[in-house]
Amino acid sequence: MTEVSGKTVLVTGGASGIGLGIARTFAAAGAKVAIADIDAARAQEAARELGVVGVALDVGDHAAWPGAIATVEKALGPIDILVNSAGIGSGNRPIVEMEDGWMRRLFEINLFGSITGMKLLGPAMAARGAGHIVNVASMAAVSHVTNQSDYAGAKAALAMMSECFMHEMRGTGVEITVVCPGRVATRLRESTELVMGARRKPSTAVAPKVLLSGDQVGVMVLEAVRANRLWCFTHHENRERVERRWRAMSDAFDAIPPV
Amino acid sequence: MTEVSGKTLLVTGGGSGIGLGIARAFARAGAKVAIADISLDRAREAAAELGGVGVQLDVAEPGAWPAAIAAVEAALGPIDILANSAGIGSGNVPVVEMDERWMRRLYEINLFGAITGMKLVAPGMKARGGGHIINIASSAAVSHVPNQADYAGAKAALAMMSECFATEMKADGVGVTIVCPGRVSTRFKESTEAIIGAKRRESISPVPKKLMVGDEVGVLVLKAVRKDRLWCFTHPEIEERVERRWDAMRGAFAEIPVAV
Repeated sequence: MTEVSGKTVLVTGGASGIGLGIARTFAAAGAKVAIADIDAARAQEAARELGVVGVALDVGDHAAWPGAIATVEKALGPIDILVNSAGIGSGNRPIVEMEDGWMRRLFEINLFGSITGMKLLGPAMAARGAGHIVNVASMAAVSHVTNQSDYAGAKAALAMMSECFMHEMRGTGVEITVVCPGRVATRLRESTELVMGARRKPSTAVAPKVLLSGDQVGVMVLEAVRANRLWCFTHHENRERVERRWRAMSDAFDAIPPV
Repeated sequence: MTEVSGKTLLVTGGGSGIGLGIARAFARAGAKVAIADISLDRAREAAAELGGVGVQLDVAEPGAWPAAIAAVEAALGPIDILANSAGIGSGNVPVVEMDERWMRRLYEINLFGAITGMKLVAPGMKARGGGHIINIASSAAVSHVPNQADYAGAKAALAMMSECFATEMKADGVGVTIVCPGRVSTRFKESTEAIIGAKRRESISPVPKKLMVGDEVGVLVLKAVRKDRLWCFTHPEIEERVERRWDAMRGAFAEIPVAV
């Protein structure tokens, strides 16, 4: 979507963190923005601050989507860009100690919630001949994180399903961008504990050097969307980890015996 | 797991296809083999062929696992190697037409079923000082397939969760191998349609001239497990697609502003 000015953007999880950064950046670029959030008060507060529309939405609740979409489209017109940013974090446990309930809720929100949005909005975008889906994945989508396999697994699935979607929608004018941020200052811990009603164990992951703000990520996302780029990475420091993964796969291909 | 002779192996979805191929390769190498399958008849048939044990198991039913494990361990001793091979295929429709029920059932079987197995047997492996998990993913775990987003997504998640698991269990001697086969001749279409109770649409992916068979995959998996390899690929032609994906990512990293 080379031109975002005047376009209608719905950002889930838009009341804080990366979602808010994206909402702010797109609003500044002239887009008509709607902020959806599981926390209705925060959605309204963020919407007021940006002078945009706020709606309550639990993306993991499929039945809640049509009402939220209708509210947004009534106020701002058909949604041109959907940003799936709502998500919760891992319980920070190894697989053998992973809580089934936590893992399932995480997949419902982080993965199936995004798919619901794409299914509901993708066809109308295609019918109008243009649209853009922005799925906020994570570096964990393309590089493992010890003790966060539920999170990394759902993000890896989101990235892969997005890549499939891109090829399926080719020729319809509907584009997709997969955002894979590294460390960003967000409310992920607070909102995760609120949604799960339980405390997270402290993360065992080594904190990376660069901590970005949601706004900084928003600027990069805007640029990636304008350039119709599939991948949007945010941290140089993570390139090496992805390359290491590719090298390991490449070595494994070399191990296939000649037929 | 450098030595598989005398070890106990449980293969889910072992009644046919890649699972059966793995069971055969490991049985030939001297492993004690248990076949779990959603079809008891197929499990028993395969077990009879290999002199092993056959049990009925729907991997998506967490409540069914403990009894299946108990039956296997009573007959063959503690499970040293778990091969998660049970799985169903995509409905072969684009994301915007994807059947919600099909997608969820696929995730229950192909992803959460494998995780249940890992959670139940890995602690015992750790307590005994070692073990191995074999997760049958797919080339779709590392390279997109249009109209199979549910399948590719669940396989990508399985691969990624396996990579996390590998680092979590490394110090405990529990290894993991992620198998990413290309096209293999299996009963996939039949078993998927039987489980979902609906017809699959024809795949839009091109069919290769010669399909690999489950037994060929089994031999490659055995070799990968003996060498404690994380990744096990079977089709050299997939490498180009994975490399293209990495190239696209590398290009995107180059777009990050220098200051960050």
